[in-house]
Amino acid sequence: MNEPLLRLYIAGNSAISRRAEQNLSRLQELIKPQGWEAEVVDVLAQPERAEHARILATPTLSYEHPVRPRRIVGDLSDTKSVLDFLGIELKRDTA
Amino acid sequence: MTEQDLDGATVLERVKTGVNAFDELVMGGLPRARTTVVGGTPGSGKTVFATQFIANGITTHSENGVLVTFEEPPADIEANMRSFGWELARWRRQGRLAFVDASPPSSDEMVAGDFDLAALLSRIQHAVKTVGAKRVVLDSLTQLFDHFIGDPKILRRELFHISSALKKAGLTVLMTAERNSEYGEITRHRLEEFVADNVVILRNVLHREKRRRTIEVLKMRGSHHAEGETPFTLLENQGVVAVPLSSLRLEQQSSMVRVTSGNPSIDEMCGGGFFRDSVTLVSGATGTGKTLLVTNFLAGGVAAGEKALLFGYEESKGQLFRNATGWGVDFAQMESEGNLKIICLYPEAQSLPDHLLTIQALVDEFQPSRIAIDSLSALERIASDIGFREFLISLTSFIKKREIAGLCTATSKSLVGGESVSEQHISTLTDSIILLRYIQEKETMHRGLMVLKMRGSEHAKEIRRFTIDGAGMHLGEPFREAPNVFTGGDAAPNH
Repeated sequence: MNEPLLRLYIAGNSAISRRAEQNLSRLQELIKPQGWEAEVVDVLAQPERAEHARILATPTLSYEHPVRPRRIVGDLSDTKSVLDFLGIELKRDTA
Repeated sequence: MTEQDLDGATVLERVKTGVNAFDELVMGGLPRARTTVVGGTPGSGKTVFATQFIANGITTHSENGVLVTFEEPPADIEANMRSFGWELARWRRQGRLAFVDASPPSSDEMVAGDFDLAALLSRIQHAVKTVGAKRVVLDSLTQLFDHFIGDPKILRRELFHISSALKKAGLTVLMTAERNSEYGEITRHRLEEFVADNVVILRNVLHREKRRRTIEVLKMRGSHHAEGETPFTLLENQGVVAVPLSSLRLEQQSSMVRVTSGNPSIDEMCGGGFFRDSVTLVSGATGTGKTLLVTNFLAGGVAAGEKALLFGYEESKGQLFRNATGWGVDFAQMESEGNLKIICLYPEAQSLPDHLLTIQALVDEFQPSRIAIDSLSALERIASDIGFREFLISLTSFIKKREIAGLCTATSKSLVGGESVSEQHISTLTDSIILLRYIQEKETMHRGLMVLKMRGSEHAKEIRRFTIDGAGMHLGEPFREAPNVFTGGDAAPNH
């Protein structure tokens, strides 16, 4: 198993958390061919993981890059700005 | 659990902060299961106050705490607070304290769209559960607003939610927030409006080159609190120490027991000596004999089997000893026998509230029956008018409360007559006033002494001439035609 590169921190079943999860699923469809893995962490169920990663806001998408870690706070509805921020270029046919 | 009184109304249980005088201002402490916002400019002592609240819970009330830090990482807080005597790291290892590290992470961050702070709340609740906390501090909210700078509305909603959730769990919450100015809006982002049941303001005002720290309770929902600013100081190994103006209640008992002034003639003029729990002011120009009166006061007490304490702010210990020897008093022997203690300090060595605490600490330790302060004028130099007045109120009330006889000196500016500023301040606060004045008669200058005021007693009204020699002070005959001792003007009959 690959270490997941993207982690989405959500809080239980709130509307905004579900929206973020859905948006992440769409995003995954786009980036999976390039080998990106994603994991969802529920901070209500696993507060110690939120503590360890020092997450304040939910939803937060964390890109666990060893040199330059990046985080996006929000519901991930703007796919383009998410990809831009993560620095992921999509192959032309999937864009 | 909250208590119920006879009317069925909820009585707010109090949580002590560890700042004793502050707890008195708010009827015993912060209301349990409520949120208090502590506002202050940078450097006003918010973090110290907040940490003290946690530390006091852990050390004296078996109430564990959670510290949510938005500004500095926990390791820095642990290091910074060590000088106040708080072993945060040890308490953390013992499971009595938990940190929630909400300091800015190193990663890049972008905010796009709506969000909530459920992760923060979940972390706080997790920490509370882990150590069984009763007290929670969030320090400081302003940092959180800076973090999510574009979304103040969301933060207000979320902080309200966090505050409600913690209160519902019975936690007493203290949040700090920054202020832009000492006397402007209450906090930046107006946090107090949506999150606080109670609002406390810490101030650190620079007035005429002198710092003055105060604490003020602005709002206490559902209960009474004292109004106005109370001075405080930050002390090593103690943290915030507020200085109460307790004499405003005027509840000291008045003793009728007389003690000697150290000079039989002055005792006689005062109707038999000073009262046991009274404060006497000796006012006079430089060289009129104030320090001699102090010396007699101390020696008279020691001779009567009392312990005496002197705080000198004008002369060194060596000088005081030399002076005393010149008047036939052996301070060195009294001190070696443990009946006398002399402390000499530069007024500038510390702030006025610190001086007061030094005096109080030594009185508690040495347990004297009489105390002398020489001089108030030297202390007046280092404080603002209001600061000095507060110091005097606290000092005189403290002396009376301990049923100690107090003698303070003040130096008047002009050589003949004239009031010193300290005198204006203190005259209403002291029980007795003795004036020492230079009085000119034709071509010679004499010294004169009069008892201006003696609360609760008859006293001599005349101005007595006196001389000073190797055996001390000798009172002579009254002046027949003395000039006005207050203005130093031409000779006029004394009224």
